Amino acid sequence: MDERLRQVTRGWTLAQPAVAAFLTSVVRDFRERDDLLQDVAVAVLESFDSYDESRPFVPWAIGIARHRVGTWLRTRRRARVSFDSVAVEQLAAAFAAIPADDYRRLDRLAECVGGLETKARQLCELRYRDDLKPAAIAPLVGMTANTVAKALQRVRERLRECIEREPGLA
Amino acid sequence: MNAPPDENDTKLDQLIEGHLDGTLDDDDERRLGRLVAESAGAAGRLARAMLVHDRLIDVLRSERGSSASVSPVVPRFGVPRLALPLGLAVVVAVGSLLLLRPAPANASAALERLVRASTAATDRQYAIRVVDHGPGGEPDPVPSDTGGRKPGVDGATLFVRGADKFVFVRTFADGTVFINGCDGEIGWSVPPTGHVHLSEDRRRFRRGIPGERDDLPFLSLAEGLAEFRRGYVLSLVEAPEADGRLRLEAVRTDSRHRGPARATIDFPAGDDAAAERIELAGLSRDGSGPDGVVLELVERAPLPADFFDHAHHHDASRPIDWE
Repeated sequence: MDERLRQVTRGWTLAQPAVAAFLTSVVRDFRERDDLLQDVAVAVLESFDSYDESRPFVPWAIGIARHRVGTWLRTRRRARVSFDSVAVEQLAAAFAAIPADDYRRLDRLAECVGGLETKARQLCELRYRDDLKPAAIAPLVGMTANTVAKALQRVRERLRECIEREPGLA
Repeated sequence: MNAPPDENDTKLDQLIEGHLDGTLDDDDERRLGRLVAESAGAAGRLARAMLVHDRLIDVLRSERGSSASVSPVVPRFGVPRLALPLGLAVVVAVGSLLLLRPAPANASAALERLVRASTAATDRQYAIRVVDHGPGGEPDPVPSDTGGRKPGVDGATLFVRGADKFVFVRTFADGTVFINGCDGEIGWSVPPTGHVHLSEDRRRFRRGIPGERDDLPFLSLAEGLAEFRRGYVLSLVEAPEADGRLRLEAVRTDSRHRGPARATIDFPAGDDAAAERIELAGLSRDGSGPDGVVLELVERAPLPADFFDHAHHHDASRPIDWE
């Protein structure tokens, strides 16, 4: 692997969680997020020559993602798009400002998910692995859509608390 | 330490949680967008909530095929997190999909795969045939939309998208159609003429079909398949007629269960477990309506985005009744 590729790989490894979360916040559909994430990865690789190494990599990568999102918003013109360009700018700045430690805490999430009881885990699988919304999950688990949404909210709260409890990082 | 959340924070958090699960209506989505645009604090709060939400996608996907999984997996064609150079990541992604391809270890696992495949967003079209008209015999055709009778299900077409969207088209003898469906939030029915009926009760127009069952069990495939989890004995065999297809047989053991007495479901043995043929027998509990129906998958092609909205199926001038 040449040095340039090594650098961009190292930078992308750091930036990717922030970029992915930024894209998910705007796009929401998991598959479209995957497509955009790939586009951004390619754009980061292609634009790496213009990267100023004296500046932090994550905000630079989020800047590329922000431009991609802008194009996506213009081409889709969807009624269900929630955020205008000002909101997207604010979000990009918010993700760029999150300290690196917060991203590192996320590495503990798999362990926290492993500690969930069966029902909570099933809801997570249906929501996140299978990309189902509460209304679609409801008939599969014998709950109402509203109860599923509330249960998912509680599960996320527990998982946030769980990753915060990591010794040495709290 | 964080200060106790004030009322505005609580409202913001509710909007954020709804945004994460896609349950906000358009007004609330715009409201959240405005809050994020106007306040760096709101944007930061959403960003932090999004971190766990987004990472969960990858954590749960990466456990695909794990024995720790509560329920078996239907592969999706999403691409795992790209922390590697793109070329290598694609190789890893493709390799992962091949290596993690699940096989139906048993009948229960096969059923879970079928349930999940039926919830996929892919548009599917099934042709419905009545193979056993039941004790009452074959009913006379319903000539037209008069007298409140609706056409029978023999020859009907069912379109499905995901777990909760369907369009069910039945034809009168005069060639006009009676259409009912659900867009995921609203149940609706569109007769050939007159008022279009809408209801927030998504099941409303699945009931009260004269001369037929009160609640057609196959209009929600995901729901109908999930019913086989309880009160049925399941067995998995190779389908006798087609290469590479499996057959799941379900026989009702609990007579209190409202579902069909028997079901036979043929589906591909590979990644895509979408049901290709479903035969339901013993449907009629009271002697009325068909006792056996077959659903054959005839098409898997994207339908128009608004196909499951009632408005797609009638003129804008038709009067609407909310029920």
